[in-house]
Amino acid sequence: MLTTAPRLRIRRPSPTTAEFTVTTLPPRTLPLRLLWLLLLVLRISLSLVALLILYARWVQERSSFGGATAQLPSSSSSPPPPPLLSLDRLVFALDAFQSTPAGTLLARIAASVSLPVLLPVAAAVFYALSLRVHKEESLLVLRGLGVQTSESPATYLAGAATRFIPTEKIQDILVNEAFLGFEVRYYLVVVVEGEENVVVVFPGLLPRRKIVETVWRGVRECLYEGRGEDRVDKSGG
Amino acid sequence: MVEHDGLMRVFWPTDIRKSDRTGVVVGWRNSTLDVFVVTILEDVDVRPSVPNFSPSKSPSLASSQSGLMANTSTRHLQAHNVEFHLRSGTFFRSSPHSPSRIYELCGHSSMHVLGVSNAATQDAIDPSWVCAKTSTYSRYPRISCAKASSIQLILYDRPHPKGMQYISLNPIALALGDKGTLPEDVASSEDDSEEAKQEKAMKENRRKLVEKLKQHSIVRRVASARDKALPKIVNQVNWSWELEQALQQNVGRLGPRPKRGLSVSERVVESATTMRNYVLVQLWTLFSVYLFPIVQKAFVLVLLFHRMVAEIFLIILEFRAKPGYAALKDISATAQQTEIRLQQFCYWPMQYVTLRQRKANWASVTTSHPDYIRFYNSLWLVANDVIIGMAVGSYIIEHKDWVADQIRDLLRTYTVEALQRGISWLMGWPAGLKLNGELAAFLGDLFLWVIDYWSSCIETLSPMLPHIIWFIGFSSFAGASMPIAMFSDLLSVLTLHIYSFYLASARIYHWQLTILRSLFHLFRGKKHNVLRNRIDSCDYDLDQLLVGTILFTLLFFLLPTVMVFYLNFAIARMIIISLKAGFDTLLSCLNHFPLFALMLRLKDPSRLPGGIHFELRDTHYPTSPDANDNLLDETPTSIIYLKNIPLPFRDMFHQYFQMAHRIRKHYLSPRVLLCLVTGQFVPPINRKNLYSLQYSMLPARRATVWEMWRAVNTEIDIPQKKPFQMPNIPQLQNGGKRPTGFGRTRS
Amino acid sequence: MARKTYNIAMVSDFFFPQPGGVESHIYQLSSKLIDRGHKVIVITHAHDDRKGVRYLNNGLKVYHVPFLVIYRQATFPTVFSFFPILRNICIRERIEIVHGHGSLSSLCHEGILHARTMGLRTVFTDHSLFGFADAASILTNKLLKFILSDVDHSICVSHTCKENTVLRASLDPLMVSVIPNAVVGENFRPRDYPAPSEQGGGFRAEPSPRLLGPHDMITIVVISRLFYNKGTDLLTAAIPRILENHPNTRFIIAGSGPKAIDLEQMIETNVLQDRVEMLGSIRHEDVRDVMTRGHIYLHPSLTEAFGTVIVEAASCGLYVVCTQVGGIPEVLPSHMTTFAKPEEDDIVAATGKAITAMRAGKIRTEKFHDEVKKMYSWSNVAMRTERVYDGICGTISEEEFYGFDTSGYNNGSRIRDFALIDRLKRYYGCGIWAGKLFCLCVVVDYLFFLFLEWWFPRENIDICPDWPRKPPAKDKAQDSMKLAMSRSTSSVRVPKLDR
Repeated sequence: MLTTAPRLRIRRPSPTTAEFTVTTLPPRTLPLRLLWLLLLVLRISLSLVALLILYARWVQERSSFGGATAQLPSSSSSPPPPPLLSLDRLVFALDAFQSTPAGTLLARIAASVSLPVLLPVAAAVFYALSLRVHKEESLLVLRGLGVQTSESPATYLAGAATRFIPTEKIQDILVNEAFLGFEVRYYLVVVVEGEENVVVVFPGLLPRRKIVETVWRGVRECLYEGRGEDRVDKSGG
Repeated sequence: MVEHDGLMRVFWPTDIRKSDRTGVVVGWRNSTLDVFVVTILEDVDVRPSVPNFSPSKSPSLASSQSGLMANTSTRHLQAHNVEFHLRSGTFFRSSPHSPSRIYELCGHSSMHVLGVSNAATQDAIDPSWVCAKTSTYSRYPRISCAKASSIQLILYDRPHPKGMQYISLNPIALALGDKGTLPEDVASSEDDSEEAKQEKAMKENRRKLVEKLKQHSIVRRVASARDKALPKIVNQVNWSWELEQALQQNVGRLGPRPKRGLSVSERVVESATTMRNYVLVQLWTLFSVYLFPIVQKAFVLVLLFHRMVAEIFLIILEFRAKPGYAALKDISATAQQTEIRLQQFCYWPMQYVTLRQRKANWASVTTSHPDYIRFYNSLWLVANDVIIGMAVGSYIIEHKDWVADQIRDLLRTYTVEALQRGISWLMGWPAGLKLNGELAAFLGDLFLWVIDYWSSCIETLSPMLPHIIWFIGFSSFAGASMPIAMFSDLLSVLTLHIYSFYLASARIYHWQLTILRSLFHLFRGKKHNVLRNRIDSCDYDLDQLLVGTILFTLLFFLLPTVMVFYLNFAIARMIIISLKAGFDTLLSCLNHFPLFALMLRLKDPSRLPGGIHFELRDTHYPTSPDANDNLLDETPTSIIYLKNIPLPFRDMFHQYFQMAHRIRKHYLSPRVLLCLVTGQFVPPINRKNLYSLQYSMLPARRATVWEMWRAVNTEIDIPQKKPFQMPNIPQLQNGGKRPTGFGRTRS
Repeated sequence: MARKTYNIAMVSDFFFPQPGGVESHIYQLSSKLIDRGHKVIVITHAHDDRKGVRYLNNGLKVYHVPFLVIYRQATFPTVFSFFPILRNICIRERIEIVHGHGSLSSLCHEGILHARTMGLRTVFTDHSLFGFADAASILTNKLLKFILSDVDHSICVSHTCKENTVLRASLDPLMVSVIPNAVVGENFRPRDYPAPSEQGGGFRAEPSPRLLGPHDMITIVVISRLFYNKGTDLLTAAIPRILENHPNTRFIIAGSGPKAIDLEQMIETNVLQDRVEMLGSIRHEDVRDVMTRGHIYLHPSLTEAFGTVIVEAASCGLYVVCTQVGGIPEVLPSHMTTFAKPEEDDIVAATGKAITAMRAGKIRTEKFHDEVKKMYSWSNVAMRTERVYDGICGTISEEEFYGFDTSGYNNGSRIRDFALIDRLKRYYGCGIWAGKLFCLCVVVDYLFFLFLEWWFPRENIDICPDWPRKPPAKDKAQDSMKLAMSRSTSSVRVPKLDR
């Protein structure tokens, strides 16, 4: 529901510059926005819970390492809360949370799992929570400069991976077909001069033939059509 | 115009001054409609008294000049005035270095006037000129040009050359690329060359495929001048900051600026700074004329002496009795480590000299930046190594008895007792296998006897152990890598017996397998033809067949006994090899961690360029009440933002991946498994392969003492040639007086 | 009336770049079918340097499907794993007819089974002969029976092959057609024969016979893969004796295989290095150059369905000495060949006879080329294959296609319908146990098909654009085809098999 089949979006502010974006993001509607919001809240709250469990475990470890003596006097008399917007205040709030029923529940969970299990599980949870829902891959075509492929990374933490290929290096841009798993797919490739591997455009989404052909035509038009040099060549030869 | 397809490309710096005043746009014109803006010179004044003002570039303009409004004619004059000064190099008259380098790298013989900004009217300016409209409100300038039918406006951030920022098309190379083949390459073992051959064949295949791919292109498109300009533009971006500085500083030379006398306070400040500068210069002269040469000479002599000593050590370490024999550094990790450190020591002065030469040129020349990173990386690493080494060393020295005891215990339990137990287990019926008792007893007794002898040797050696440990601990003040290398060597020495057992049992096992194989061929009526290296059919006599078959049966039933002994020692040997591989990996991590590059990446990512990247921005102007808007909106414009990609972490650790790949290829290949199964000797990974990671920081051939002497001496010359630069004085408003005049007059 | 054209997929394990008769058969047939306006693709497995989709000359599209190769370039029989990809290809290429080649190719068998499940027409061409006795043959025959019990039509390359196939797979003989192989005459010209472009003028002088003196060297050529069934053992035994009996002779042997070592060893023990030349494996386009170096072609094969290489040799103007096995006797007229029994003594004797005849100048080898060219042409093969397609697709009526006897075996029609229950009936008749097993297989295949329809929906598969089609050729050679039919049905022999 959160993603659609890959669809094409074209931005073309001037005839010589175009950006072709293939995305699985569905068009924004109100229910969808609400769903996004819900998902965001869910993600944040889940990661908070994971953090709190880790904190509880850390407190337990600290107290078992002889920090218990230091803890005793502070628990006997409750000092006034430190000023707002300071690190001490945060620690104070966390300690206060530890004594609530939810906090004790989390602490019990943290205590029941052994450390070599807890840490990788927490890391995996954080990774899973930072995963992107939809994929987006784009091709930016600039006449006179070159083409640039980019793909959205798997998580929200990393930036987009881009690859710029100057026009001089572009040997050809073509549509090819190849086996992928149990299918034969069409894909767009840029053949780069002096390189052993071709660059596949939209490598993760591999959109359908219609989109690939549209992009291919668009790229050729944007890069080459009506160039001054070509016209000179024709008139000369 | 031949190359006119209506596309205008404008490179525009993001930090250009945004004001509503008129000005002249200055920069590089790469081709008619491909311009690179460096700066806008504002308020350049009319100077009719330019000595040889010849509007040779566009005579039509000069003729039409008279009939125009005063405003436009002044603008023309202004622009041509600027053009004249740009050509005659007025702007660089006071620059510290020769401007020819700029022209060479940026690919033009002078800078050009590209257009005007915020011009009042659009009439009668050269049709290929850019009309830019900037204002303090809008983020992007609005560009129009009479010839252009569409515009790419490419915004770029100026890299700061003084901070060693720059952009580049290709990722910065952290390793030295120009490796010649080392002479040792010739003597590499046969199986390596076999692998290399395979790899070569694969590469050849790939190359052929690439060739074939070329034939598939239907139209070979000729790259236009605009396409080819990209490397030039990268250089222009890198130079842009320094050029802008030079232009803005010298804009006053074009003639009287809007005049304003210096106020009293300014005059006071100026005279005070003049006085301060004078005193500083006197002190500096005193130091540099009398004291500095002596100190420097002494330092160079000490350096040279050390270099000589290092040379002697290096010759000892690299000595080979015959070409192809192992040198000391190939056998021992310690020797290898020492050699690397000495090599680094030999390379440092050369590197430093190269770096010094950087100072003698414009800051925008980016070729030496990787050298800089390499030099400081190796310095940092050695410093780091020493710091860790001190901690480790002091710990080892303090606890030397405890460490020695531990080592002794480990040795006794694992290399003597565990082995003895294993052998006696094999002499019985291990895991229910019914081995040949007599042969097992013979082999077991033999090995047990050697182990007994070895353990007595170890016992006599053990009082020495604390002293050895103390020595190792002491050596770690030369860096934490030293004790690691020494422990690695110690491990080899103390497990010598396992190594020899492995060799002996592998030999026996291998012989037996070879005999079995040829007897099996006999069994099938075939034989191995050595000359042709193939299996032939052969008619044997009856007695040959009979004896062969009996022998085959005998050996076949004895094989399991020999095999279990062999496996026992082979496993022990594999464990030791993996331990040593662990030590080696640790060493190369210590020796080649890209510490400096990592820190740089965190501090200032644009110092480590990994390529460029474009971003298409949305085009929408804020509506303004200007009447010319309709005209401007007619040319479709795309706004593109040129950005630098910082070097990805993956590339920084590229060599680690390479090394992991190499180790994996060497030890986890089917060849090693085959060697193990057939009882052939499994060679440990070639040190050269493993250490090429570290040598990648060093040149293939080290400079001789004489070369170093010359280099160091020329290095002394450079600062004398260079004019002394004054500490920077806060620039006065309006730039009325050029600040560095004083220092320069002395040179 | 415009002829109907089809989209045809040739499925086989055997295709270029490996050399062989089946491979060139598929290529030539496809090429000629394309000339006749059909769309043809080839589906085969991948080689180490050939994976993915390729276009050959004439717009022939080849899918090299990545699969595991086992013995002698045949893929491992994985009954269902080929189905998804075959379905994908068939849908995207809009295939109507699946045509499998080679009874040893598991890819072909799987392709036919799945194509039937998908509701496509299928044709099978058999290129080889098999025995009935040994375990491997029994297994292959069962498999063949399984596949052929539901195939729409079968094609064999010779009458011997047809009898063999009918017996092995218990088929209705009317559902098997015989269409022989052919050669491209232009590619197999004799040495001094002018290239086709030069002989534009109507009149050409009769070539004068080549006369060989008693001391001229006679060269005997052998081109075959050096396997057991190609008779390499016979060759190894015969060569020293032939060379001993006839001083001015030499051998050229091209091809490779496991028996090559035996040949080499024979050469070394008898010190024949200067009289026997071993070329190793050669490419198909070099075959002619090797053949024209010789005078006699020796073919010692133990089993052969058709023997294209004999026709090629004769086309190159070589006198052929061959073993009298399988479909070989049908292939060439008797004045071009000397037959021998597949025994060492007989081969030596036959070769000796051939050498004597050559020296005596009795044989007009220079005329062979034109004669062979008249007998065999690929366009003829393509036309006859097209008639088979017409028949199974119902373009021509059943009476016309099958001739006199339209009643079939048990039920009225020979047109195979796609209803699962009918298919199951046909499979069930294959044997007591095998029938049930086959039915199980087919049911699983059908369920798998339903699963694929749901998992990879048809509408998500892109349709390929077609290569520009050629206009369908007119049937001007209809009568010449009938001629060829009547000639090739002239001789019927009992399949001769050894072991």
